Amino acid sequence: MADPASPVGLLPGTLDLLILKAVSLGRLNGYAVLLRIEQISGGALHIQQGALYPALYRLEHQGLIDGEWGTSENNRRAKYYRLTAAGRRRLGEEAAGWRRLADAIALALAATPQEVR
Amino acid sequence: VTAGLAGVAARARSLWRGVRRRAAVEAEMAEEFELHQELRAADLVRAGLTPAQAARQARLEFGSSEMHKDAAREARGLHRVDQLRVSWLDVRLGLRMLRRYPALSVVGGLAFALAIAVGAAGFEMMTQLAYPTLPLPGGERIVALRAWDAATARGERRLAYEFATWRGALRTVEALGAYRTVGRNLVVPGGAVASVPVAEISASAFRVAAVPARLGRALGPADERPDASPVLVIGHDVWRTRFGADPGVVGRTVRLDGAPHTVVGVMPEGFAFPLSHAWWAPLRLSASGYAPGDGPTLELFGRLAPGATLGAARAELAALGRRAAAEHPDARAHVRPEVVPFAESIYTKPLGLAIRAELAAANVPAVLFLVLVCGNVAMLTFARAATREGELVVRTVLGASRGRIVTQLFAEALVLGGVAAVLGLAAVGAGLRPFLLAAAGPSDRMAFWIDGRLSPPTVLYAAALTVFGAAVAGVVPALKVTRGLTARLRAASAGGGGPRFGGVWTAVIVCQVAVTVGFPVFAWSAWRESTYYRSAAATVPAGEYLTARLAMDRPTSRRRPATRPRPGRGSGPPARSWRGGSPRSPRCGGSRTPRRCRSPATRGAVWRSRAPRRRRPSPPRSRGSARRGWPTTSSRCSARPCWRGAAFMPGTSPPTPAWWS
Repeated sequence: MADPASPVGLLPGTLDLLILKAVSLGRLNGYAVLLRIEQISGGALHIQQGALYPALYRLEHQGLIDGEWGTSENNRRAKYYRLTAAGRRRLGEEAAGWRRLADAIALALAATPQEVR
Repeated sequence: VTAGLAGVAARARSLWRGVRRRAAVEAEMAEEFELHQELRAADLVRAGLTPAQAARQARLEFGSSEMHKDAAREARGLHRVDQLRVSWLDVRLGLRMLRRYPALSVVGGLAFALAIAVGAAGFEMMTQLAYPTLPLPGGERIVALRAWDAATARGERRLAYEFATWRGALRTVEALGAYRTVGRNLVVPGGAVASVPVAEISASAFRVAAVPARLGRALGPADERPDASPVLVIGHDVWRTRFGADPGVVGRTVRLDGAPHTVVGVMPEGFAFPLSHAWWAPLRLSASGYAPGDGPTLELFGRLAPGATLGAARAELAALGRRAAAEHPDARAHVRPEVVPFAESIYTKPLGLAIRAELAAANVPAVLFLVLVCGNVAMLTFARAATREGELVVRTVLGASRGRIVTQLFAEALVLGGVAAVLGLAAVGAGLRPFLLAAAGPSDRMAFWIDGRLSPPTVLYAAALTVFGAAVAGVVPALKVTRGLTARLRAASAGGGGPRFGGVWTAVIVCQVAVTVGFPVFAWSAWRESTYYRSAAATVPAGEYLTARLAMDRPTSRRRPATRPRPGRGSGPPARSWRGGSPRSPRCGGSRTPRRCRSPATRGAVWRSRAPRRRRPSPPRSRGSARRGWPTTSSRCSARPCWRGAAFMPGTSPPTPAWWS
């Protein structure tokens, strides 16, 4: 039996959705995106650091997030990402789709033998 | 739709930035990765690790930066660009292949060079012919004025009347001038006699050309007066070749057709206005003027006045043409004057889109020849690639994609093509004008602005041909060789082998390429040989015989009625032997023979037929029959042509009167 407190892996395709959600909450650098996802998932989701940056660059390439260079808290040059209008639309679509899928799966998993007779 | 377009634009922008600023993008990624690890290490230190442990732990958690970079580049869509990128290593490998396979390099390189030279030469000629420009100050404002006879569908060149009229009337064209080219026997003291084309030209030509003399002076208006002493301006080349670049040439006397002329100036190198001239004498027209359609044949030129446009000049000249038609309906009712840029005056018709398209189409055979040659070079490349299968398999095992290997083979072909392009362009730059002169023949003159020099667009075109040729010769065989490479790897591991080209096959392919490439060269050489053997030079010891230039006369005036050939006489071929030239500007049009002109010869004697006079069939009456071989000068000229010519003994002193008489 899996430990309920241990982090779970991501389903394929969900990292982009989580990144869009994270940067929708505020301008973040790459490392902060990682921490924000862990924070908003209650520590349940663990992101492979190597997978983060290709996903960030892919979303930037698609014009869903926009990166710009600024200064970090420790006075280092850092690249900050923010959500674009196209990214906000995509986030809404993906979130709605995810909720429908989750509801459908939850419904399916809650099914009992009496219900299917 | 808007969101889709925005996404496409964002992708294009990102891709363009990754391609153009590859190094900057890589540096930004490295900086971002480094910051990430520092921030993670700081968190680990706060969690209780030592700085060293934290840094190590952060690096371990992050993993390989290079792998993340590759993944990031792939995420940006740059991996395909990377596969197609030709690196310096590929170039070095290509150079190494040139040394390693010398036979292929020589045969393929020469074939490539020939094809690129043909393509570049064709393109350069097309550019110079379709878009001619005068290499003179403000050359685009120099215009030619000419007239078209709608009744005869021919150009009207007896424009002495128009010259006098337009010179005083035109406001949109200034410095109107005229010239005609005449053959003269030149005698330079101490040098050989030669027949040279002399431009009898208005002094305004040198104002129109806006080029000062290198030595002495150009012609001036005073030189055009009938009582002025004969003067001559010479070109740089003849100054160097015939006068030994004598700095004191100004003031020397030469004889043209026996008349002494004083050299008053030397024009700078490259100056050959108006067409390809190197001798300029003042044009002296009759002070009493000419009737329309009378006088010598002339070419008119001028420079657009400041602020005047070509359209305005055309409108003004058309108005003058209408006025002349009204005043002289017998001679000028159907004559339409026109103004064209001078560089385009070598064409009978206005240089329009149709002619330019026709000239551009002449490049198609050159491109097809390039494809043919590159196809043969591709066979060589394929043979070479097949022998390198082991190397390609190893590269595949080490992670090289098929696209990367194809790019490498393309780069090797590009190196070969680059070397060949340099050779081909050098050959074109050095040999195009001599080639054109040789192909045109000694009797044809080429406009000085058709100089055959390479222009930047031609170099770019040659570069494009090189890339195209390299794609044909490199990519096509590379795609063939790399197909199923992984399967052949397994076969090779099991002791099998891939395609192999032995020495015999390689020799056969090399010979085929050599023959393909050598055939046009052989054809050209054969054509030149046949031309030579058809010429008198091959069969006649030219040093022992006279040489001559003959030209048909047109009737001096169309008002003369006696231009119709009479049946039964004077309709045969021209006299078969002659001994001299008729007087300069003889008025012997119509059916008169030189002897019947009853004018004394200024150079030698008029000729007479040595052939027995035989009765010949009646001359053709129609233009169509005239075109079928009768030696009539034109349908309006006599059946017995009137010859003008110049005769001299090459390499000897000028003929004495006693010899000629």
